[in-house]
Parts: sequence; structure tokens; C-alpha cells
Amino acid sequence: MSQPAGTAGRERAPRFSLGARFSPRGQQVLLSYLILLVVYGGCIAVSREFLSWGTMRLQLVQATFIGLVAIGETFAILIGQIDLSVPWTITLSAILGTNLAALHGQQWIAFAVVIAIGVAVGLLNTLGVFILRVHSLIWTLGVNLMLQGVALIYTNAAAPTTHVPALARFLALGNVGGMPMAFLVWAFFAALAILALGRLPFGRYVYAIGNRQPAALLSGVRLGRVHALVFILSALGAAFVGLMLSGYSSQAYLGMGNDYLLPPIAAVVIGGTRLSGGDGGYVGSIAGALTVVLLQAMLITLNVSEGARQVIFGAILLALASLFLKRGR
Amino acid sequence: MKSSIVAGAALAMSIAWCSGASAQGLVDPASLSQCFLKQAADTPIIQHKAKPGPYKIAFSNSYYGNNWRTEMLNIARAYVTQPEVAKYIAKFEIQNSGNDVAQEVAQIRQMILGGYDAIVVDGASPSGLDSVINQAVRQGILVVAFDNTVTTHEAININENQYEMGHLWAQFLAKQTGGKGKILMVRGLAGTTVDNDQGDGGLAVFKTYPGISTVQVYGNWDVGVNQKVTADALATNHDIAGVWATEGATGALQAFLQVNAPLVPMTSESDNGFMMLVVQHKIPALVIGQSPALVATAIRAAIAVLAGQAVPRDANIPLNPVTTDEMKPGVNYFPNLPNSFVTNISIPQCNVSIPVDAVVK
Repeated sequence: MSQPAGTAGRERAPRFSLGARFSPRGQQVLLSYLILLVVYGGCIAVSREFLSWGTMRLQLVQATFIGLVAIGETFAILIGQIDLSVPWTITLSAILGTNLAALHGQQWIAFAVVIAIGVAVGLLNTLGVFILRVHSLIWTLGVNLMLQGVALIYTNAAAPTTHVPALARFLALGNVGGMPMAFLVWAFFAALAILALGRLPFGRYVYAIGNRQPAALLSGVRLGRVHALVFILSALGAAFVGLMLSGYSSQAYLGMGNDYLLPPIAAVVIGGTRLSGGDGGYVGSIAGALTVVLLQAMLITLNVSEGARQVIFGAILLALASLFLKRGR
Repeated sequence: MKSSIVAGAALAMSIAWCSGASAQGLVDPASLSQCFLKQAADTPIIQHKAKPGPYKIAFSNSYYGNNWRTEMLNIARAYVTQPEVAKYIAKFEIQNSGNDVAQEVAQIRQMILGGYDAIVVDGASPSGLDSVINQAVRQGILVVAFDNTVTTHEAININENQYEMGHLWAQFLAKQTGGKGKILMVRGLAGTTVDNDQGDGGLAVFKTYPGISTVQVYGNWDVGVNQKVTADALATNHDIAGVWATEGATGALQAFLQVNAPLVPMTSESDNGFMMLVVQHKIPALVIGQSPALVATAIRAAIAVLAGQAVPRDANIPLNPVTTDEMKPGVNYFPNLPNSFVTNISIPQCNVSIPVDAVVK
């Protein structure tokens, strides 16, 4: 923001086409993948097992959960907002979906619930952030609490009867031609996300809003629509991950989404997307998701005390984030 | 209608069984001493002059947002209506405060004004309630804390021995592995008293076997986290001989199935899903868990002391270990209930027997 308008304009130009190979954007993505490479190197130094496909397959499944949430989070951060309603969107979608599927004996209900929750939570977030103009940090966190309340009321805080759809199990744990199904799902949605940001009008609007919202408005961008789309996509991603997670652990339970608040945001930041919005993209977030998951796995393998583990994890995340946060200034 | 008849029959049967076990009932000294074990040799005994019954008892509960707490609350409601117990009770009231210490303090203050004979507490804080509890005791009200116990010496504290739990799990694994090999410890939430106690109990055993080495990871008592950290640990340790796991062990076991690792002896708290899986895969396992029926023992302790009987100030409730060959569907695990159901809803040593229908409403 403090840059002279002229320079900022020149820097921003290639972002709209995303065609230039050596734009500042490209350099940031390169940095994200270099970090990923270094962390992977560290993993291998800790244990040769990280060279085996079996081990990496597990990591890819874990990265999928974070990576899918990071799609919506990347969009939200690009327009200068954030979505903190992810954890209980995950939990509520998993509990409601598997419970209603159990009550009615139909698998497709779980998927219908994912869509319903995604749209409902997304619209609720848009209502607060765009129409009521509450800062997304506050509003989405509040929505998260509300969703927790809904989940508690719905289950009466008791273990809900669940029926995890076989398809959810397959999506989370299945293998197709040696590749984990989860990773294929991620690759599919990642490709869509990159396409949307780089080639579709949606992407142009997202960057325009993140860079200067009034300017975007004046150039005819429908701010409300883009906000709604971003928050709905983010909630849909979280709700879908909820269903996949219920497939992964064969059950849905209160609090199951609690570990998915900060890792996706860390993935977005390590991926080079500026927290204040307008700059970045999903290509980097992919590297970010893999980096976060590999870091966690490496620290578990180290067999050090939990305290030390958390200190190291936090320190590395801070160091990585600061690499990018400096550039954002 | 049909289910309530079944519930009634189960209730009647359990009561018949109870009274058979102790003719003197709830306040029989011999029966009390089987249930409430002193936490240390020098634990003081609490005994007051008997008050005439029946009694007004209030229950101040903190958090209620998980399966354990819900089952516990249902057990409390069911226990006080069992005829053996009901004859001692004039009024029983439950209040939930969430994990908010100030709220719980205010609630207990209301209970003091409400003229109750005893207050049972599952606290939001180990020390934050001390002053209001002391105040209650000064007003002549008996206070019994359980599960999340309190630090004030004015209250009776009732819990399960977490160190002993970790110890028994480790002894089981040492026996199963012949004292050799690598044990994966999937612990709880680092830095909590319960995790420290369980872990210390386990490590104290493993240390005595030179052939045993341990790998420790933290699963935060959560099924999903258990599954992830176990899968990670398995990726780099192919020679795990046994798994010492606590709450959330269902996830640890699922990680073994997910990566097709050879199944090894395991331990767990009372997770229904875990018990179903070990029976299905015939895995040697030992299950011991914090029982949601602890609340019933706390109510019983309150009644006993009000009736003039002696109870240790800091008491442990006997543990009820269950091995795979002792697991019986519908008795100590429940294939038709959710994976996350907490199975140990009865404590036979304390004559607490709650029919499962009363717990899942």
C-alpha cells in the first residue's frame, strides 16, 4: 500500500494474465516450492522412510485435507478477508451428513448436506462481512462459535448415530492405480481453483477487490457476488473435507475439525499469498499445504518431547511466514 | 413404549442384582470401603454426625459438550431414580455452567442459598472454586468433587487413579510382548495432569524392561489426531511390538488397518469403536477408562457421609480392566451404538449399575 501508485500498477499488470514466467508472482511461487524442497530434504535427513512411496502416500492424504480447505482460504485472503468458520463447518457437515444418512439409509444425503451447509455458511459469512461490514476476523469466528452451538444442540452433546457413506470412505482412503484417491480429488479441485484464478473473470475480480476495493467497484465488479462466491466456495470446501474426514476415521464426532483452523492459513501464507490480500495464488498454497504436513510428520518422526516439537513447529512456521510477510510490506 | 418396558425390565434386574450384592444398601460400611479406596495411606477420613434423610442434593457440572459428559449427566439422572438411591433423596438438581469458572462460582453460591444438604461438583477449574466451596462447607453443606477434582481440603475428592491406569496398560503390553520390542505410546494432551499421570505410570513399567524401547507421540485424546500421528509413526517404525494408547485409540488402530501394518497388542480407554475393532480383528487388547458413572459414586459418597458413614477425603474408585476375551456385545461393548460411545457405564465394586438405555436417550 505504501508503494507509489505507478510501481504498484506495473507490478500488478502481469498478475491479471498470469502468463509472464518471471513476474514477481512467479518468483514467490518458486520460493514456496524451494521451501517445500528444503523441508522434504529435512524429512529425508531425519528418516529415509520419506523416500518410500508408502510414506509419501500417507502425507498426500493428510495434505489433501489441508489443501482443500486452503482453496477457499486462498480466495478469502486474496480479497482481503479470512474465513475462521472452517473448524465447525467441518464438524457440523460431518455429523449432520453421516447422521442424516444413517437415519434415512441413503448415502447421497450426506453429499446434499455438504452442499446445503456450504451454501448456508457461505451466505451467512457474506451477510456479516459484506452487508453488515463486520470484519471477517470477528464475524467468521463468531459464525464458528454459532456452528459449534448448533452441533451441540443437534447432537444433544451425545455421540450421534452415524453412517459413513462408502463413497466418503473411498474418497479418503481409496487408491486408484497406486495413487491415493484423496490426492486425485485434491488435484482435480486444485486445477479448477488455479484455472478460476488465472483464466476466469472470477479470478480477475478477486485480485481487483484485494488490491483496491473502491477501484474494483468503480470498474463494475459486483462486489457482493464475488464475496458470496468466495465464502460459499470456502464453506463448501470445509464441508466437503468434513465428509472426507468422517470417511478417513470412519466416524464423525464433536471437535473433529479443530485441527483445521490454522494449518490451511499457514499453507496459504507459506504459499506466498499476501495476508492483506490482492497478491498470491493457489499454486503456492499447494506447496504450502505439503510443507505444513511434511513438517508435522518430520517432527513426529524426530521422537522429541511434545513441548520441543511445538516450539520447533511454531518457530519454523514463523520463520517461513516472515519470509513472505516482509515482502508484503 | 416397547423400549421403555425393556428399560424398566433392565432397571429392575440391575436393582435386584445390586441389592443382592449388598443387603445393607448404599450406606453399608463394608460396601463403602470396597468402593472408595484411600488415595494415600495418610488420607484423612471424613465422618460427620448423621443427618436425618431424605436429602436435598445439587450437582454443579461445568462443561457438557462431549460424549463423556452427556453420558455422565444421563447416568446421574438415572442413578437418583433407582429405588435404592431414591429413598435417600428429597430433591436432586443439575446445573451446567460451561467451562466458565465465574459462572460455576455463581451457581454454587445459588445452591448454598438454596439450602441443599450436599453439592456434587465436576469443576471447571482445580482451584478456582476453592473459596466458594469453603464457603459452602462453612454453611454446613457437604461438597463432593469428582472427575475434575478440586484442591481445597474442605471437599471430598473422588476420581480414578490415572497413574494406575497407565501402569496396568504397560504391564499388559510387557506381558504380551514378553518384555521385548518397541512400544508406541500414543499419549493424550501434553502438559495436562491426566496425561502426565498416565504416561508416568506407563513409563515406570517400561523402564524396568531393558528389552523395551518407547516411541512417544501425542494424540490429544482425539480419534483423528490419534490416526494421523500413529500413521506417521508407523511410516518410520516398522517394528512396533505393542501400542500403549489412551482415549482416541480407535484412531491409532485404524491407522494400523489403513497402512496394512501387522496388528499388535494394544490398550485403550473405553471407546466403543476400539472394542468393536479388536473383537473383529481378534487383537489382544486391554481397555480401562475413566467411567462416566463416577458421578454416581460421588452422589453415593454424599449420601453416605450425610447418613453418618465414613469416606476417605481423597478417594479412588476401583478400575475395571477388560481384555479382548472378556468383551461381550451388549454387556461391556455395544455394536449397535456409535463408535464414540463410552462403554464403562457401570462400576460393580460400587454397586453402580446403569442400564444402557438410560444412558443413550
